[in-house]
Amino acid sequence: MENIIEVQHLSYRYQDTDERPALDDISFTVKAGEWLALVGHNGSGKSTLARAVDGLLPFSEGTVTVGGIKLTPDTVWQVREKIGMIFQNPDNQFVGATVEDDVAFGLENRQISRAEMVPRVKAALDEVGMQAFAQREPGALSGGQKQRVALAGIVAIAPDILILDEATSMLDPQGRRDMLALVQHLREEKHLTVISITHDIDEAASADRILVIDDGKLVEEAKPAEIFAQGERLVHLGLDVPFTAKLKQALQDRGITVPAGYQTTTEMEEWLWQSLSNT
Amino acid sequence: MSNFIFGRYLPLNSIVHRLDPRSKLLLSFCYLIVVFLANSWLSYAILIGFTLAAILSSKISLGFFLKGLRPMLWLIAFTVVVQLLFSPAGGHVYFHWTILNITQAGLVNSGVIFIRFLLIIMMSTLLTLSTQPLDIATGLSSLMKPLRWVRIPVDTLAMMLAIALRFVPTLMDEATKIMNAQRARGVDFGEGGLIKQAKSFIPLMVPLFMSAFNRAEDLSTAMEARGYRDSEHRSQYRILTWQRRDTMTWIVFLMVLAAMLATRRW
Repeated sequence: MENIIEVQHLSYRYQDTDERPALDDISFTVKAGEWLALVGHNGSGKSTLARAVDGLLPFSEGTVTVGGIKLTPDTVWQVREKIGMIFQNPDNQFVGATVEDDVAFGLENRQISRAEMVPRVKAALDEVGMQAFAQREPGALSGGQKQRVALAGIVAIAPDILILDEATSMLDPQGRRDMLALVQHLREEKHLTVISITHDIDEAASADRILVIDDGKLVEEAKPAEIFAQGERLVHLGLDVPFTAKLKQALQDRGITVPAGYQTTTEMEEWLWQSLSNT
Repeated sequence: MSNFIFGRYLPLNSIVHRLDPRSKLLLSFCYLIVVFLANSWLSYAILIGFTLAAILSSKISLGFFLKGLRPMLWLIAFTVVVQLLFSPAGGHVYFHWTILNITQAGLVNSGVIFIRFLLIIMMSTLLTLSTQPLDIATGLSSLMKPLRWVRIPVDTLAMMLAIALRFVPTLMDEATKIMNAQRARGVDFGEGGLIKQAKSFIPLMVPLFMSAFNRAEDLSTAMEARGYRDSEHRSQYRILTWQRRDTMTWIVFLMVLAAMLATRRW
């Protein structure tokens, strides 16, 4: 597989006078079709890194190459053609007055004729299951629905790379699961390369590879299974430990024997009911 | 709070609702001039007839129009009374006291002013009740396109207007949330004297502005990531189409205009 993104020795400071750089000599590559998760604490620099790759930050040291194009002020729009980005706050990226206007926004920017826009908007909304909401205003949608619309806006412009910048962090658990399933589906169907910045362990688990960023540096690179085997250390890496794991830890601290391994919420529920009825 | 500005649009399915917003905007503007051109009772009768016909064909009940009139009531009453008492002498004098006169000319003048007010408010209320704010914005920017030639950034202004309209409900929700949060901390909104009331809005305005700036920052990043460069080099998804009913409406309006001109005193 060829490398679709190559980042070499990337450094960035928000202000020239900043003592510590927000990004400090970061190098990594992403293969076409890969799902890469970026994890790290708030302020570790993971969002900054994603923005630098999309040309949203004017970095001075290092190089970024996307799909064979080296990112420079002259090529930034060509590079953005290849990348679709979804941000954290569903409200603050909804530009259009209605769902269909919003999906069309990216197409309008690319000066695509209306005759071509109409079917593309419709197809994109069908893809994310929001066709019935085409005329709705953003106020009438839930956070999860707004993020689906944002995904439709990206499907409409058909990029090669999808960057999720904590895109599920403001959603409820159900909305989060739906969104991840949708991203999985779109990724297979459209052969997308996905980079997801996240604290969510399920989202990180969907990835092929995890990069851990701390203090602007790349500190670890591993497969999800290897990272998750580190248990307690997950918190230090900036991932939310799942509720069931926290519960088990708390029970263990009180001297209660708990089943080994990882349980889903339902399994944990079952086990709790059983142990309660036995006592 | 939101009813205050934008709760006015009534989504109904009438011919007036379906008219092209450009058509409605231009018509309202021309109507304004026509109302001031009328000067005989018969010409006013014709305009009243046209206005009533427009209101009836919008399927909106008259009560909404009376509500639209209410905030203007004092202004109308004041103007009518001033016209009545201070108008120049003419015709029969009914009442005279120092500089105050109620004359026949004064009576007629105040009647005319009253009718003009009524007609203009009715028509502009009809425009806002039957047209979504966004459509008004789209219509306005489309009508202002010729101003490009004098270097006015019409497309950028239209984009700003559309985004402002898009964020009104979002910021309204936010304001309500902040108010509730501050109430929970003991702030009284709308109590005490004028200065105290004004002061109580500081804990609302500061967080609201902070959040609005954060949103603007996020939004501009998201727009740039989605390929937005400037407003000129873009195609349009939302387009307006002039239809047969627009032409028909204008024919009716021109006929009314002709009838009004024929019956006015020259």
